[in-house]
Amino acid sequence: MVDDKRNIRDNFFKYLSVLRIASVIKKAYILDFIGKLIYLPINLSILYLVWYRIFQYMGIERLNDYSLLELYRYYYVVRIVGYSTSFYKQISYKIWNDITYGEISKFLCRPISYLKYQFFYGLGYIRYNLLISVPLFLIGTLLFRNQQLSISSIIFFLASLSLSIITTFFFNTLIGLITFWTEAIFGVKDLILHVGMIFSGALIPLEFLPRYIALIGWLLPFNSMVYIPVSIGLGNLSEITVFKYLLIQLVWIIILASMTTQIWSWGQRRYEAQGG
Amino acid sequence: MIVQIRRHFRLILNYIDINWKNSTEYRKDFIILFFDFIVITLLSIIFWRAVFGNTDQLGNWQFEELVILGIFGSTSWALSDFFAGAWQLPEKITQGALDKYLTKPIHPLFAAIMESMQLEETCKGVLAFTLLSIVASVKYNYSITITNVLLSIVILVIGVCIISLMRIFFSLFTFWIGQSNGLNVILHLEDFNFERYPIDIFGKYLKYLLTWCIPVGYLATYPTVIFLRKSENNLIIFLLGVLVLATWFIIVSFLWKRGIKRYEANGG
Repeated sequence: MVDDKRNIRDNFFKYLSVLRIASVIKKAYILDFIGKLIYLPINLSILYLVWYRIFQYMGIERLNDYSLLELYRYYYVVRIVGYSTSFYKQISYKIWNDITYGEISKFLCRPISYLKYQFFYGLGYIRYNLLISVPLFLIGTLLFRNQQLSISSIIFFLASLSLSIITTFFFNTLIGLITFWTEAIFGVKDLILHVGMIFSGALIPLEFLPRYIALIGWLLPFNSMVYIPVSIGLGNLSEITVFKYLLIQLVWIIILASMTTQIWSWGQRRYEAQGG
Repeated sequence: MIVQIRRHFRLILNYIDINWKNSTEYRKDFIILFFDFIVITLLSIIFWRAVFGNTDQLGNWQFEELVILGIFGSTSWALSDFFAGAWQLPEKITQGALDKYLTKPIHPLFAAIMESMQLEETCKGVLAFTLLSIVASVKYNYSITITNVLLSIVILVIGVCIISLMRIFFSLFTFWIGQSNGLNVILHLEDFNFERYPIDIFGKYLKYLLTWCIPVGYLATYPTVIFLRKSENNLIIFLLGVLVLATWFIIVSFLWKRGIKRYEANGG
């Protein structure tokens, strides 16, 4: 019993150190950090300008039942969610690189889990993204005078955003693990990412698209990564719907985590460490 | 001078040959990338189809014309991967990897950029552009001429070269400030999707900005207006493009000469 507790504690501190290392690396280049710091506000300002000009240029008040402010608020939260999860979207490339060049060998012979390492390392980076995106979400809420958004909605949004980050990690890790069976994953990764933009509502609100596209979206994990946190972040949902959405996200995490663990286990048997 | 140009042209062909071998190593991936390109173009078309649900026209742009704009927009980013070395430059500088190029009888910046070209991206761009523009031209019956098509491609190439020079410019700041990817993120113009919109919609001042300072107009809007024969100022657009390109080339050359003096190969 005491040994178990000690193991859990040691494990916790081991991965916490990984998170700290990532944070130190991130902080090493301060101008690089500042560049990324101003990226999101610039992106959000351009977004407003673009939609303002489209509405003005077309001389319309509403676009598919969305006013300019409503549409901007939608894309604002889409960008916040996208920025918060951005590091994990690239993790498949890192895994491809590690498998192809034999980098995972060092993890296989050390008392550290490769997948947990990648998760906590990524978290070290993501926490800086959250330092920017979460305050911007709160500022946006105040600026747009979103009456529907209460304190509990904000807490629900943060919970949903966290689940979205975890879903993104597992989903992209799965794509990365395909490397055990194929030579390259770049095409697959980009294709899934771009197709996902349609089904997740990242390209355009799902209400703008034919109904069957939205239905297909619910059968795939893309909604858990973008549409659900965005819908909760807009504060238009009832509490029951919010709980239902959070449950869907949890179910997807369980499914993707189980698949990742299983595929990682199968993949290790095929691993040849050619570059190791 | 001519000997130098011929020598560099021959070197580009050699780099293309080497990169082609690397690219064709992953054939299945190349085919998937080709379909991915079509999906990227479709994203733009779906976007405009949704927007056009409410109206027939966006200023003086019709939906059919915005399809070509979308094709040029996605092609521009695929072509810019020919200069993918611009993204890797900060890493090469901080890790001391420039040593390799400095000891060769070739311009180090030229070699560093050309060595990292992603030919498979460029090829998929060329192939998909040809296919999609033919399909769109047949479907929407555009009134086009060979001269206009060729000129629009030239303008697109000029635009890609300008944006790549801008990326190199920001990457070169690594000589002074260490890792400069943060600055490059600002220039990660794909994220802003400027190429998805005709620059006319941004108004007079921003149109100038997007022509002169951040010339994304040369990636999609100007090639499209020339392709569709919507402009009577083709020569002016071309000459302006060459002027902006030459200006960025001079700026980058100057910065490289100053920066390389600070290179310490600390990672080497």
